[in-house]
Amino acid sequence: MNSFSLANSLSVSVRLYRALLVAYPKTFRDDYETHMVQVFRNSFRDAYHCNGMPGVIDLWLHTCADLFVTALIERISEGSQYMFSPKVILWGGLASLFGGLFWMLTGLSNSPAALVLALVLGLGGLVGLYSRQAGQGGKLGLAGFALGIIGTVLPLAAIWWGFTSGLVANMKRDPASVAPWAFIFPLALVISGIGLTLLGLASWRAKTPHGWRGLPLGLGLLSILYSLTIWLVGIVPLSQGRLPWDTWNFGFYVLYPAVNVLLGLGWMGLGLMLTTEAGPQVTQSPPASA
Amino acid sequence: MSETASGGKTPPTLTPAAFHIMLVLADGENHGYAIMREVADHTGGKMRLGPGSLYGTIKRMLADGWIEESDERPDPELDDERRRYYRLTGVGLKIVRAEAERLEQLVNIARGKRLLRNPRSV
Repeated sequence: MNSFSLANSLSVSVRLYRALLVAYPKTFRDDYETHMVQVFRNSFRDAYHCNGMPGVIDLWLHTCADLFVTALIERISEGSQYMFSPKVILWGGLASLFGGLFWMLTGLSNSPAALVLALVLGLGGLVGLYSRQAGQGGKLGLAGFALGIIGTVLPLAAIWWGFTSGLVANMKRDPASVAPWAFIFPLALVISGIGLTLLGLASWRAKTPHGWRGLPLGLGLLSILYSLTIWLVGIVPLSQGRLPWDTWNFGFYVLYPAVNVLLGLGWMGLGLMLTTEAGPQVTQSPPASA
Repeated sequence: MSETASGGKTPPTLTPAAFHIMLVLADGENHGYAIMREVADHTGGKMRLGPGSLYGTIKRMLADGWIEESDERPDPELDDERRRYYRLTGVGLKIVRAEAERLEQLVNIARGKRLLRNPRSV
């Protein structure tokens, strides 16, 4: 590469890097954008002079990984300033309360709409519970929160995909063909259950909430049990080429609604706990820093 | 700095990035890119701080009062005047010392258990 192409590639790389910095929160960019770009420019020159193009490629790979991770950290830490507030806990509690009702409705009516609402409102409940920990749950709480969110968003995406791609419409004609798609549900619910369990452990350890400390943990374990029930009464019959509700069976008509009702009661309990504790007695603690 | 750290009861646990940056600043004030290069040199290239890790850690250390921006600038003809220079505060120096002592204790334990292949080189 001659000096002209080096100057060009440096200029393009710097522009691209500057554009990528939009991933960081605005306050962080305002403080450090100029300096980060300067450091990147110097690193680029060094990488090129030491190792040529392989060095530049290595720099870009390293820079992208660094940008992805640190932008996420900065976004989370910035968001945490607004997240740990009684209002968030109160709204999260209300979402959890109504989410519980929809979980029960899902079990009793088997309605996909009720399931979607239960999952969406469950996201609010997770935010409320994480917010209630006020940063005292540490990395365990954060990991649980992230897994809970992933495990809740995944089935929502799968439902959207199932309905838009015609997979659900094909269910009656060929039950076995939808089994791999439907497998996403128990898998996602296990992830969500593990997340809730970790969040529950973090809550227990941090002694937040003050009352019913074991409830989030119990709800997490119940979610894992729920995913096993879905596997048993939904995926096993589908993979054998029959619909779960075709013939009377104990699993689908008794066990599945019962676990749904229990799960609904758990979410309602969590909602009740969060709404009652979201008053002035909620003590605010800043999250731990570096 | 947290209350416990300033109270001197329990020094805060430093992230590896924060500890390496503070080790560089223990030699005197420096700017971001030079810190990044020195950290890579100290660790034989094993720890490479990207711009995000570097300034994210600097931001938190500034907020905790472990480091501060320096008002003094080298000769503008010799250096880019847009650069920001950082230096350790008194609290930062105590913290990095405490962390170094903690690590020394661990190394001594490892040495006592004959886990180090060449104790003199450590």
